[in-house]
Amino acid sequence: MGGCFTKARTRSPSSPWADLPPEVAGLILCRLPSYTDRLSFRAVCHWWRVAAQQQRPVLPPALPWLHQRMDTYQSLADGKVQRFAVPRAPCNSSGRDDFDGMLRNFGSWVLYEHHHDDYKSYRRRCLLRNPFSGATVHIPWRSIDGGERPLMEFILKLIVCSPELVAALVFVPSGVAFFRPGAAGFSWSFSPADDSYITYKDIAFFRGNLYALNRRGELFTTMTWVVSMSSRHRLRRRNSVSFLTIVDPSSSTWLYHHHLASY
Amino acid sequence: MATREAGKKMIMLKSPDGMEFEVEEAVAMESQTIRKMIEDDCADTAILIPNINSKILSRVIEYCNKHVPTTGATGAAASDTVAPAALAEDLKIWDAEFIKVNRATRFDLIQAASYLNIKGLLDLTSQTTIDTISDNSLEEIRSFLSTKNDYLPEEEQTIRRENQWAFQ
Repeated sequence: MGGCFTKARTRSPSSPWADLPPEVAGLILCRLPSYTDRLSFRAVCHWWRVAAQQQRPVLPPALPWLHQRMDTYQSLADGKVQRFAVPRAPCNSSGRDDFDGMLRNFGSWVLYEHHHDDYKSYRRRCLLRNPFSGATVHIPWRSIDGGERPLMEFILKLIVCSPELVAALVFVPSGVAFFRPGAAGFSWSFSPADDSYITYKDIAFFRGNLYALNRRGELFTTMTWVVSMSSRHRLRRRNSVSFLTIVDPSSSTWLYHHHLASY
Repeated sequence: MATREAGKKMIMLKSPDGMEFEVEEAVAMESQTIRKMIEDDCADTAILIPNINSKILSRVIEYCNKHVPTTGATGAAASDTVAPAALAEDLKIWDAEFIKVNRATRFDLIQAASYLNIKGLLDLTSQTTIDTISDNSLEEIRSFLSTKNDYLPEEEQTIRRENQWAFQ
């Protein structure tokens, strides 16, 4: 029963529960749709954590949380409400540092836009944060089109593909923009839609690939480490993609985005 | 293979501690594992059930006996005149009593249900554990299951830091 994994640890022979066999762990985890409950399961003891990790590939994803208000989320699994403090933008001057109430949700990530005004200069900052893991990514707020408009006004959807790559579906101009956090330049690179008259409708990240769906129902894909859209695969069945189902197994929450085709 | 009442095929189940249990084939086939053995003709004489002692095996058989008329055997069952809803309610009450066992026995029952692949028993035995995890703090879960926090201090810190919000 996996004793070899745990020999180095002090055992508690009084309870067989510490030695939960992986298949039983899987059975229990399958019946725990709440992400919080799964976290509790993993935290019980070392062996339960190992068992949960082993079972992870075969588990159904935990049920998502709904973003209700600025800082409030509700678990669909058990109705529990969780509040996360809205992040403050880094500020080293005595000026005002306001989060002006603009935020957008993209799966597990929330995009915040900060305005910074110290009476001498006016700056904006964009911040992506996963409230569940606490991970934060600073995002350049301009230069997709070089203009001054708030970033979230022209981002339709944003995906944190990896800590090194953020992809955004944008319109005007229509296309997919990429940003590499931490890379020199701190700017977006833009890959326009194949045909400027046919805009993209949705993007999804699945098993290391980014997919883009245009309004004709054609699916394009690109390897994420290739920033330009160099390889494309056209879906065989034309005009038949009416749903794009996106499950991000790596995130702490998952969401289905169903976009019904307009034709 | 033993036969007892007319038309009822009997199966012998053996526990590793040497006990033998004669059960109706339909009852034994509540277990998908045993069903497969019977269907594959691997069960000519007695079936040895490894890793499940006689105490637990007898409880599993008790469960299967109770559940077989509604889920397994068809034909002239004794429940012909009982309404299905009343029967389901009766089973629910019976299940609730059945699962009033100590932690160690419940663990053995989960393992047995898992090995023998008896879905109803699995649902029943794992539900208490699921409720425990859902409704209690981490310390309460550990105390309820008699498991010890065997994390090294730095591991514990990492776990808490990773998902601080969940353990507040």
